[in-house]
Amino acid sequence: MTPHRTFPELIRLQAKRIAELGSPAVAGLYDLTGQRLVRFATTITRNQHDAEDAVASALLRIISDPENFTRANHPWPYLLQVVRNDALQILRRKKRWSLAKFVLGGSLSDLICREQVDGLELREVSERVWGGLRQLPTEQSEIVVLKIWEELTFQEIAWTLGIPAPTAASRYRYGIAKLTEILGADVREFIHES
Amino acid sequence: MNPEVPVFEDFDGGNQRGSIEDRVRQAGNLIVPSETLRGRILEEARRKHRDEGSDRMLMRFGFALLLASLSVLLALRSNDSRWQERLRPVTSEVLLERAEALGGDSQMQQSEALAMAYDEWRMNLSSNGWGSQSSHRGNSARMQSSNRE
Repeated sequence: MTPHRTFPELIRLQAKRIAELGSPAVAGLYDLTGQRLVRFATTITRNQHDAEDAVASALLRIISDPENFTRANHPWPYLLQVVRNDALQILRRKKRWSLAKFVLGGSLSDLICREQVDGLELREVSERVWGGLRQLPTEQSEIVVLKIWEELTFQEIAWTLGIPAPTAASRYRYGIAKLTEILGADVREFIHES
Repeated sequence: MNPEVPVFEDFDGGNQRGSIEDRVRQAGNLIVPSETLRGRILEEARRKHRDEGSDRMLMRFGFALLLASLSVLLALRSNDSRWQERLRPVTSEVLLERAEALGGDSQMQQSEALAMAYDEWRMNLSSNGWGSQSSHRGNSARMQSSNRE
């Protein structure tokens, strides 16, 4: 019977496989992390197409130097950091910073959405959350995403983003407060229903 | 790992915060990567793998070629030094001197003495593994017959 492994342990396992078997072993890493990396990168680039470019470039960077990835004390934050760097680089290259920030603020037309089995309502709610996240400054939305979706501790977020942990915590607080404002009406509805 | 940094101690509205977090959590599964992304990454990874393989092969081939060239160079050098040290290339002056020496002893014609000197040099070459005995004999016979004529 295979022992139950945590997500970071599975990442470490994939890192070892890449170091041992070479480039084609990246398939396992992609299957494990692809969706998470794309959604994280999308919060930075504000565009899924660019986010996928960043993920592809980051994974190729990982396989070209698997030793660093294998040696990383925290491989999942390390991988997120590589993706983030590539996402920021793509943003800089395309000079979309301002465009992403101000023009595409609330638009979700770039997103490829899953067919929700739970129905249309949940999809609408999710889209509102994505819209709300896009209205936050990137430095807040990326922390909200890392904290809630990736379940990183503030210390891990601090490593990933290269900022002090208290800064990460306060940005998260501001982000959630702003998101509460944006989604306020929905939330009150949600609380009432539950 | 350092202990988790405490937050939200001064943040009222815990219920609201909790529900926002829940809703954000639920929205995490909204998007999926495009169908082509996996193939794109794998194709690029395979290409990289192939390139690395051919680079390695090319490097090995280059190294083998270098070794082969070096050994050929060394062999040529040793051959050359053997030639220079033991079988100095003959010059017409050396042959004439030798022919005079041979002619002086036995009163033979100059051309015949020259043929004998040349023959001697060829014999020396053959005995050291240079040139063939048969060609030496053929040349010598030809020279001698032309001398008689």
